[in-house]
Amino acid sequence: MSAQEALFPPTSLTMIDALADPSSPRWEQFARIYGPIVFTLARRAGLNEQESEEVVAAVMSGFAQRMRSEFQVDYSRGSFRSYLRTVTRNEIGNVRKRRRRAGAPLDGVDVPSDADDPVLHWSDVERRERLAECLRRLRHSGEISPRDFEAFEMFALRDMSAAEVAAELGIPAKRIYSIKHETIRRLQAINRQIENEFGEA
Amino acid sequence: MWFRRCPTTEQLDDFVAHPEVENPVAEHLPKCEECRAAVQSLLAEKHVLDDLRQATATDLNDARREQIVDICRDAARGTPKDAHA
Repeated sequence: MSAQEALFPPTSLTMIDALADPSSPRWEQFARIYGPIVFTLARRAGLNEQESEEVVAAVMSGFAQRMRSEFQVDYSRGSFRSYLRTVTRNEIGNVRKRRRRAGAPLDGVDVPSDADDPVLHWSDVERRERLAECLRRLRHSGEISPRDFEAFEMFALRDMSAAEVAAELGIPAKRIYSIKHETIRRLQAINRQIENEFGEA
Repeated sequence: MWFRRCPTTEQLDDFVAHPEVENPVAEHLPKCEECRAAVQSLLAEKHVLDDLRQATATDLNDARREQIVDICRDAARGTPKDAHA
Protein backbone atom coordinates (compact mmCIF):
# COMPACT_ATOMS: atom_id res chain seq x y z
CA MET A 1 0.00 0.00 0.00
CA SER A 2 1.41 3.39 -0.93
CA ALA A 3 1.69 6.23 1.56
CA GLN A 4 -1.04 8.05 -0.34
CA GLU A 5 -3.37 5.06 -0.11
CA ALA A 6 -2.60 4.67 3.59
CA LEU A 7 -3.51 8.29 4.19
CA PHE A 8 -6.50 8.41 1.92
CA PRO A 9 -7.94 4.95 1.38
CA PRO A 10 -9.94 4.87 -1.83
CA THR A 11 -13.58 5.40 -1.02
CA SER A 12 -16.82 6.17 -2.70
CA LEU A 13 -20.38 6.87 -1.75
CA THR A 14 -20.84 3.13 -1.49
CA MET A 15 -18.73 3.08 1.67
CA ILE A 16 -21.60 2.15 3.93
CA ASP A 17 -23.02 -0.30 1.40
CA ALA A 18 -19.66 -2.08 1.41
CA LEU A 19 -20.11 -2.84 5.10
CA ALA A 20 -22.57 -5.55 4.13
CA ASP A 21 -19.45 -7.68 3.65
CA PRO A 22 -17.63 -8.04 7.00
CA SER A 23 -14.53 -9.34 5.26
CA SER A 24 -14.30 -6.06 3.38
CA PRO A 25 -11.41 -3.73 4.30
CA ARG A 26 -14.15 -1.15 4.79
CA TRP A 27 -15.16 -2.97 7.92
CA GLU A 28 -11.83 -2.28 9.49
CA GLN A 29 -12.08 1.43 8.70
CA PHE A 30 -15.55 1.43 10.16
CA ALA A 31 -14.58 -0.60 13.24
CA ARG A 32 -11.56 1.56 14.02
CA ILE A 33 -13.82 4.54 14.58
CA TYR A 34 -17.13 3.14 15.76
CA GLY A 35 -15.87 0.24 17.90
CA PRO A 36 -13.98 2.54 20.30
CA ILE A 37 -16.93 4.95 20.39
CA VAL A 38 -19.32 2.23 21.55
CA PHE A 39 -16.73 0.92 24.02
CA THR A 40 -16.02 4.38 25.45
CA LEU A 41 -19.69 5.19 25.91
CA ALA A 42 -20.31 1.82 27.58
CA ARG A 43 -17.46 2.46 30.00
CA ARG A 44 -18.72 5.96 30.72
CA ALA A 45 -22.13 4.48 31.43
CA GLY A 46 -20.58 2.50 34.25
CA LEU A 47 -20.03 -0.86 32.59
CA ASN A 48 -16.81 -2.74 33.25
CA GLU A 49 -14.29 -3.68 30.56
CA GLN A 50 -15.79 -7.10 29.84
CA GLU A 51 -19.35 -5.82 29.74
CA SER A 52 -18.28 -2.99 27.45
CA GLU A 53 -16.68 -5.50 25.10
CA GLU A 54 -19.94 -7.44 25.11
CA VAL A 55 -21.82 -4.29 24.15
CA VAL A 56 -19.38 -3.65 21.29
CA ALA A 57 -19.81 -7.22 20.04
CA ALA A 58 -23.60 -7.08 20.28
CA VAL A 59 -23.82 -3.71 18.50
CA MET A 60 -21.46 -4.75 15.70
CA SER A 61 -23.08 -8.14 15.27
CA GLY A 62 -26.52 -6.54 15.01
CA PHE A 63 -25.24 -3.88 12.64
CA ALA A 64 -23.60 -6.45 10.37
CA GLN A 65 -26.76 -8.52 10.23
CA ARG A 66 -28.79 -5.43 9.48
CA MET A 67 -26.40 -4.42 6.72
CA ARG A 68 -26.73 -7.83 5.14
CA SER A 69 -30.49 -7.58 5.14
CA GLU A 70 -32.62 -4.54 4.73
CA PHE A 71 -30.57 -1.53 5.88
CA GLN A 72 -31.03 1.44 3.58
CA VAL A 73 -28.28 3.99 3.33
CA ASP A 74 -29.41 7.56 3.75
CA TYR A 75 -26.47 9.93 3.88
CA SER A 76 -28.62 12.98 4.26
CA ARG A 77 -29.97 11.80 7.58
CA GLY A 78 -26.92 9.88 8.75
CA SER A 79 -29.18 6.91 9.35
CA PHE A 80 -26.44 4.39 10.07
CA ARG A 81 -25.14 6.56 12.91
CA SER A 82 -28.62 7.02 14.29
CA TYR A 83 -29.08 3.25 14.17
CA LEU A 84 -25.78 2.66 15.98
CA ARG A 85 -26.69 5.15 18.67
CA THR A 86 -30.02 3.50 19.31
CA VAL A 87 -28.61 -0.01 19.43
CA THR A 88 -25.76 1.10 21.69
CA ARG A 89 -28.21 2.75 24.08
CA ASN A 90 -30.34 -0.41 24.13
CA GLU A 91 -27.41 -2.76 24.67
CA ILE A 92 -26.02 -0.65 27.51
CA GLY A 93 -29.50 -0.61 28.99
CA ASN A 94 -29.70 -4.39 28.79
CA VAL A 95 -26.43 -4.82 30.69
CA ARG A 96 -27.54 -2.32 33.31
CA LYS A 97 -30.77 -4.21 33.82
CA ARG A 98 -28.82 -7.42 34.31
CA ARG A 99 -26.59 -5.62 36.79
CA ARG A 100 -29.53 -4.28 38.73
CA ARG A 101 -31.18 -7.70 38.85
CA ALA A 102 -27.92 -9.12 40.16
CA GLY A 103 -27.61 -6.27 42.66
CA ALA A 104 -24.18 -5.28 41.36
CA PRO A 105 -23.14 -1.61 41.30
CA LEU A 106 -21.83 0.15 38.19
CA ASP A 107 -18.11 0.72 38.30
CA GLY A 108 -17.21 2.93 35.35
CA VAL A 109 -16.07 6.51 35.41
CA ASP A 110 -18.37 9.53 34.90
CA VAL A 111 -21.38 7.45 35.81
CA PRO A 112 -23.62 10.28 37.04
CA SER A 113 -23.21 12.52 33.99
CA ASP A 114 -24.00 9.90 31.38
CA ALA A 115 -26.28 7.69 33.41
CA ASP A 116 -29.56 8.96 31.98
CA ASP A 117 -28.64 8.73 28.32
CA PRO A 118 -25.49 6.72 27.69
CA VAL A 119 -25.11 8.03 24.14
CA LEU A 120 -25.69 11.69 25.00
CA HIS A 121 -22.10 12.58 24.14
CA TRP A 122 -21.82 10.46 21.00
CA SER A 123 -20.89 13.39 18.74
CA ASP A 124 -18.07 14.56 20.99
CA VAL A 125 -16.68 11.06 21.35
CA GLU A 126 -16.97 10.48 17.60
CA ARG A 127 -15.12 13.70 16.80
CA ARG A 128 -12.27 12.64 19.08
CA GLU A 129 -12.16 9.05 17.87
CA ARG A 130 -11.91 10.30 14.30
CA LEU A 131 -8.91 12.38 15.28
CA ALA A 132 -7.36 9.37 17.02
CA GLU A 133 -7.86 7.45 13.76
CA CYS A 134 -6.32 10.35 11.81
CA LEU A 135 -3.28 10.13 14.07
CA ARG A 136 -3.03 6.37 13.57
CA ARG A 137 -3.28 6.67 9.78
CA LEU A 138 -0.68 9.40 9.71
CA ARG A 139 1.71 7.42 11.92
CA HIS A 140 1.48 4.38 9.64
CA SER A 141 1.56 6.30 6.40
CA GLY A 142 5.27 7.04 6.26
CA GLU A 143 4.35 10.59 5.26
CA ILE A 144 6.02 11.91 8.37
CA SER A 145 9.26 10.64 9.86
CA PRO A 146 9.15 8.80 13.20
CA ARG A 147 11.32 11.55 14.71
CA ASP A 148 8.99 14.31 13.54
CA PHE A 149 6.00 12.33 14.72
CA GLU A 150 7.59 11.96 18.15
CA ALA A 151 8.38 15.66 18.21
CA PHE A 152 4.74 16.41 17.46
CA GLU A 153 3.50 14.14 20.23
CA MET A 154 5.94 15.55 22.78
CA PHE A 155 5.30 19.19 21.93
CA ALA A 156 1.64 19.26 20.95
CA LEU A 157 0.14 16.44 23.00
CA ARG A 158 2.39 16.08 26.04
CA ASP A 159 2.94 19.78 26.62
CA MET A 160 6.72 19.66 26.61
CA SER A 161 8.30 22.97 25.68
CA ALA A 162 9.90 23.45 22.26
CA ALA A 163 13.26 23.85 23.99
CA GLU A 164 12.86 20.52 25.83
CA VAL A 165 11.83 18.66 22.68
CA ALA A 166 14.62 20.28 20.70
CA ALA A 167 17.19 19.22 23.29
CA GLU A 168 15.87 15.68 23.50
CA LEU A 169 15.54 15.03 19.77
CA GLY A 170 18.28 17.26 18.44
CA ILE A 171 15.95 19.36 16.30
CA PRO A 172 16.11 23.16 16.14
CA ALA A 173 13.40 24.65 18.36
CA LYS A 174 12.03 26.69 15.45
CA ARG A 175 11.54 23.48 13.48
CA ILE A 176 9.41 22.02 16.30
CA TYR A 177 6.77 24.67 15.66
CA SER A 178 6.79 23.94 11.92
CA ILE A 179 6.39 20.22 12.59
CA LYS A 180 3.35 20.94 14.72
CA HIS A 181 1.67 23.09 12.06
CA GLU A 182 2.48 20.67 9.24
CA THR A 183 1.20 17.72 11.24
CA ILE A 184 -2.05 19.44 12.14
CA ARG A 185 -2.60 20.32 8.48
CA ARG A 186 -2.09 16.68 7.53
CA LEU A 187 -4.45 15.50 10.28
CA GLN A 188 -7.12 17.92 9.09
CA ALA A 189 -6.77 16.63 5.54
CA ILE A 190 -7.19 13.04 6.74
CA ASN A 191 -10.16 14.10 8.84
CA ARG A 192 -11.82 15.56 5.73
CA GLN A 193 -11.31 12.23 4.03
CA ILE A 194 -13.00 10.45 6.94
CA GLU A 195 -15.88 12.89 6.58
CA ASN A 196 -16.15 11.81 2.97
CA GLU A 197 -16.27 8.21 4.10
CA PHE A 198 -18.75 8.48 6.97
CA GLY A 199 -20.28 11.95 6.80
CA GLU A 200 -19.82 14.66 9.39
CA ALA A 201 -19.56 13.58 13.02
CA MET B 1 8.24 45.00 26.53
CA TRP B 2 6.55 45.78 23.24
CA PHE B 3 7.06 44.72 19.65
CA ARG B 4 8.77 47.09 17.22
CA ARG B 5 7.90 44.57 14.55
CA CYS B 6 5.28 41.81 14.52
CA PRO B 7 5.89 38.89 16.87
CA THR B 8 7.33 35.76 15.32
CA THR B 9 5.15 32.77 14.55
CA GLU B 10 6.66 31.03 17.55
CA GLN B 11 5.74 33.92 19.84
CA LEU B 12 2.18 33.92 18.53
CA ASP B 13 2.08 30.16 18.98
CA ASP B 14 3.19 30.43 22.62
CA PHE B 15 0.61 33.14 23.23
CA VAL B 16 -2.19 30.89 21.97
CA ALA B 17 -0.86 27.77 23.69
CA HIS B 18 -0.49 29.46 27.08
CA PRO B 19 -3.16 32.17 27.37
CA GLU B 20 -2.78 32.15 31.15
CA VAL B 21 0.74 33.58 30.87
CA GLU B 22 1.09 37.35 30.63
CA ASN B 23 2.36 38.05 27.14
CA PRO B 24 3.16 41.30 25.25
CA VAL B 25 1.50 39.76 22.19
CA ALA B 26 -1.82 40.68 23.81
CA GLU B 27 -0.93 44.37 23.53
CA HIS B 28 0.20 44.03 19.96
CA LEU B 29 -2.89 42.30 18.59
CA PRO B 30 -5.35 45.22 18.65
CA LYS B 31 -2.95 47.15 16.42
CA CYS B 32 -2.29 44.43 13.86
CA GLU B 33 -4.88 42.79 11.66
CA GLU B 34 -2.37 40.36 10.19
CA CYS B 35 -1.40 38.98 13.59
CA ARG B 36 -5.04 38.75 14.65
CA ALA B 37 -5.71 36.60 11.58
CA ALA B 38 -2.70 34.44 12.42
CA VAL B 39 -3.95 34.00 15.98
CA GLN B 40 -7.38 32.99 14.69
CA SER B 41 -5.75 30.31 12.61
CA LEU B 42 -3.68 29.14 15.58
CA LEU B 43 -6.79 29.00 17.75
CA ALA B 44 -8.41 26.67 15.22
CA GLU B 45 -5.35 24.44 15.45
CA LYS B 46 -5.54 24.55 19.23
CA HIS B 47 -9.13 23.34 19.07
CA VAL B 48 -8.00 20.30 17.06
CA LEU B 49 -5.21 19.64 19.53
CA ASP B 50 -7.56 19.87 22.51
CA ASP B 51 -9.75 17.17 20.96
CA LEU B 52 -6.73 15.10 20.06
CA ARG B 53 -5.39 15.28 23.61
CA GLN B 54 -8.71 14.07 24.96
CA ALA B 55 -8.81 11.27 22.39
CA THR B 56 -5.34 10.09 23.32
CA ALA B 57 -5.73 10.59 27.07
CA THR B 58 -8.29 7.81 27.51
CA ASP B 59 -7.51 4.33 28.75
CA LEU B 60 -7.75 3.18 25.12
CA ASN B 61 -4.16 2.74 24.05
CA ASP B 62 -3.21 1.41 20.61
CA ALA B 63 -3.19 -2.22 21.74
CA ARG B 64 -6.63 -1.93 23.32
CA ARG B 65 -8.01 -0.27 20.20
CA GLU B 66 -6.70 -3.19 18.13
CA GLN B 67 -8.48 -5.62 20.46
CA ILE B 68 -11.72 -3.71 20.01
CA VAL B 69 -11.33 -3.78 16.23
CA ASP B 70 -10.85 -7.56 16.50
CA ILE B 71 -14.04 -7.83 18.56
CA CYS B 72 -15.92 -5.84 15.91
CA ARG B 73 -14.54 -7.98 13.10
CA ASP B 74 -15.35 -11.24 14.88
CA ALA B 75 -18.83 -10.04 15.79
CA ALA B 76 -19.56 -8.99 12.22
CA ARG B 77 -18.40 -12.33 10.87
CA GLY B 78 -20.19 -14.27 13.56
CA THR B 79 -16.89 -15.66 14.89
CA PRO B 80 -16.94 -16.62 18.59
CA LYS B 81 -14.89 -14.22 20.71
CA ASP B 82 -12.42 -16.90 21.88
CA ALA B 83 -11.99 -18.52 18.47
CA HIS B 84 -8.50 -17.06 18.14
CA ALA B 85 -7.37 -18.13 21.59
